[in-house]
Amino acid sequence: MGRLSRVTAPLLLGGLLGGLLAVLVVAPAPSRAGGGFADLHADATFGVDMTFSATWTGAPPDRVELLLGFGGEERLVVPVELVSGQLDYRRDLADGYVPPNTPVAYRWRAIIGAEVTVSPERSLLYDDDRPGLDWRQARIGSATVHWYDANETIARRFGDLAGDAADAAADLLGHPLAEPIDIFVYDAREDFQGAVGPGAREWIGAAAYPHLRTVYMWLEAGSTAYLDTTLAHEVTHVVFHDATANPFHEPASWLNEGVATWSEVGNAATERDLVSLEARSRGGLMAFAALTDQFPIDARGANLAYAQGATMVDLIIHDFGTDAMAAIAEAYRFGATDEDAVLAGTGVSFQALRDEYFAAFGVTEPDPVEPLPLGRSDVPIPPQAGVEPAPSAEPQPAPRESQDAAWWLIIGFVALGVVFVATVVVRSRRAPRPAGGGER
Amino acid sequence: MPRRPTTPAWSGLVLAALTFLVLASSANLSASAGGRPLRYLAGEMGTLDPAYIADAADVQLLLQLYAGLTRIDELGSVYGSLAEGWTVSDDGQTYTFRLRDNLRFSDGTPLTSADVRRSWLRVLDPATGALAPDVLTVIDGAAEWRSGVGSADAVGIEAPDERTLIVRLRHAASHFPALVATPTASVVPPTADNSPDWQSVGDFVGSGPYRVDRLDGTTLVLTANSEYVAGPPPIGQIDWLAEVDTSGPEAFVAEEVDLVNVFAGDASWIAYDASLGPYLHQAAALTVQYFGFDTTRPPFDDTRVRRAFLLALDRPRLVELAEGSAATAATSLVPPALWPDSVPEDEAPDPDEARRLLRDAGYASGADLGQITINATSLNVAPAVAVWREELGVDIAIESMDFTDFLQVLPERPPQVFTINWITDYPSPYALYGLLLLPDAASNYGGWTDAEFVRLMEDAARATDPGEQRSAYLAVEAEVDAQAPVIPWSWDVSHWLVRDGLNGVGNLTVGLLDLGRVSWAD
Repeated sequence: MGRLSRVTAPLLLGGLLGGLLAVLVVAPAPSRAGGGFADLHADATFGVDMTFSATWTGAPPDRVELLLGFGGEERLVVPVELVSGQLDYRRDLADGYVPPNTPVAYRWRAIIGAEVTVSPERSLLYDDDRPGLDWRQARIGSATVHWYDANETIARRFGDLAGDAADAAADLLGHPLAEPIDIFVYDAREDFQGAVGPGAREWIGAAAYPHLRTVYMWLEAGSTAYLDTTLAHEVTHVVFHDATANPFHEPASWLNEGVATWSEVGNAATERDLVSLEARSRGGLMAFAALTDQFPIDARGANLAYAQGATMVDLIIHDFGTDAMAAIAEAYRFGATDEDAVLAGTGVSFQALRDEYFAAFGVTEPDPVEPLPLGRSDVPIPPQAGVEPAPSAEPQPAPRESQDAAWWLIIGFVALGVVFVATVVVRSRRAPRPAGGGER
Repeated sequence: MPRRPTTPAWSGLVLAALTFLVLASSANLSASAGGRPLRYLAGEMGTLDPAYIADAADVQLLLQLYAGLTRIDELGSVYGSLAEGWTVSDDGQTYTFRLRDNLRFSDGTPLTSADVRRSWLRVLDPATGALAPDVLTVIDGAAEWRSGVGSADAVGIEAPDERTLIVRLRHAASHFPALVATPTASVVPPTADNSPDWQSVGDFVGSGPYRVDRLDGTTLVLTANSEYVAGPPPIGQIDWLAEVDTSGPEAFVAEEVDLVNVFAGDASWIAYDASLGPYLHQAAALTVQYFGFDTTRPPFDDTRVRRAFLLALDRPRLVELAEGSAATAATSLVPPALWPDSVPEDEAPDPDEARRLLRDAGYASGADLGQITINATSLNVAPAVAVWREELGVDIAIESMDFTDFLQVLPERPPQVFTINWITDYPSPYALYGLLLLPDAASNYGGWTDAEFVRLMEDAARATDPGEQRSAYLAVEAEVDAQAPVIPWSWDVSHWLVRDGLNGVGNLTVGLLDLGRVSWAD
């Protein structure tokens, strides 16, 4: 029973270069066990599947595995059955979303006893090859922009803006953009939603996958001004990722989103108005402990979360300067907690900073909501006998069935009385009555 | 011709009253068998066979569908379910269970002690290929049968009459009444054989509070089992939802579900949300995440190497960084809820000692170990890997697998270092130490054998006094620490959204949620 528990987070799967049949044929891998891999072949269709195949020459191994990497150092190991020297594996992408522009590394591994033979590692790029998306691209500074249809002008402008945004974020965080980024410009909502995946909220107009160094933009999401600030927001996420990268801890969401939101226009004036309004007249502000991971699902909560993050960043910059932001980012790189990173950057505790923040808006930081009590079971435990066990010592309420039966019995007797009275009344109605008499 | 008697005035009254009571009675029945269903976002259905329970989701489902001799209430206490009681011999090695009268499977077939014996032997039968037969190998002769030197007849389970089951154990085991509450030890109908399809959604027969009625799209519909030993449960129907279109919290807000386990990342904001916060509940889950070593092959067949990996880690700091509020650093395989007083203290990290141990083992530096492969299927290994690289200089490759592949590989060819997220089978420390580390345990994936550990476990199993049990298990823990076949990493905290008015969900302990004891307050 009990046993192992599945990992709850969905596994991100990779795909291969969209539209283009990526075929790689390599020379047989060196073999220590009298066998080797050849005819390595890979293919993918965006959002549908990816397939890998190879041939194995030599004695049948005990086990053959395909190792897949999706942009990180971890490799997903998939056992593959060898059939007449042929190896085929198909990954159904309906089982797991893969963002376009994901680099997929793959290699084959055969195990014979203690001997292990591996093929060379190959890397492919999984692109969005859906019909009608006739991608073109241009490298502009540190960004490569990708567009289709008649969107070249705005795509190129995004390239220019991305450079500016990356420079600004690098100044703020004291860390440069580590590597170039890609920006994919989508025209239609359906195209964009398909790219950012089923988990994305419907209202988003842009998305960044910093570990892929990729930003996805949707042109119909809003005005030009909106798109420009949104692009800056997403590019800042990539720089923030670079500036805080560490294997220990994901920085708090309020800080990540706060920096990105603050960077849209280089201040938090609009967000301050929203936070002030919420503090004065609406549902109040949220504790920063509520904003460390996922943001609330409702629109008000989500907007407030972004605004609180941005205004907290604004407070830090105002009180301690941009050097503080750089120091915070650096602390994360060395494995600090959120509290330690804030302390390292500002010299004051996160609690003190939060107190100042909430005081500035005339409120105090909220406490968690007290949960409703969980009721004890009202189902009786069957009578026990023997030396063990000792069932709950707490008095048990009457069995539900007994309670229900008693209730119905009471109703029955009440009904009996009602019927009796009604019968008497009916009979009395039928009886001769004095003229002018009556009853209600 | 007989005369029709004159109807007295009160006769109509009596007739009406009787009619009413009949109607009321039938209304009562329909109320207990129907009423407001409970919609539980449980995830995809796995097996319907207790022999093939693979994960916590299976446990959760089969707990609703089958009954055993005992059961765990919503606060974790053991009580007699199919058994009305039991006695223990003076030496603690023989349990005599007395079954309740007139027990039946959900199709009305009588359920007797012979069915319990048959069900247990089926789990132990090597031909069945059960995933957790070791749960029952404390029974005398069971391990021998499984290893091919004994027989079913020699297994110490007797059913001398329809209501008596006598069980002889290899050694005293005070946790045995808790052990038989585990769904693997539940009672299956006589139709159960070793075929994969003896049990089905369309033709389900069980013994628990609910029976499978149908599959409605991806939702498994469970209905009350009128033959259940405790009577039909108050909630007539459970909608066992495999999925929703949105997230769990969104489905809860939309009133599509009444009960859902939520991620810690969502729980952090829900706790402060005025509308959702009141419905958020936290439970210290009976789970542990740990690193395991393949102790049968170099370099982890050497205790010094395993200890070096253990001592390099500052687990409290690393777990806080990696898991946040979702978990706490584990100092033992046994979760805190199963340590009656306080959990054992952790060994302080000591990287210098770790390097010294590696040198003593013949590895001048970690690089001399060769490339170490760590399977990260069950937990985030990045923090530990970073430390092992930094402090010990080890070359590490990180791999993972789909869960079903991982389950297959673990017993056959365990990775050098593997990761496990384990749900406690029954509420006893023995359920962790025994099922994960005893030599004959199916889930002792690292193949660790240690005679002292076995002796200490038998002492612990014999102990009946709480203080004596604690001392015994502390000694077990000390031996595990000293030998380091595993590195306990974290204990989970689980978070749930529970609809107001749902009584009986208790402490929401994962794996022990018995919906047969749950009711709507209204």
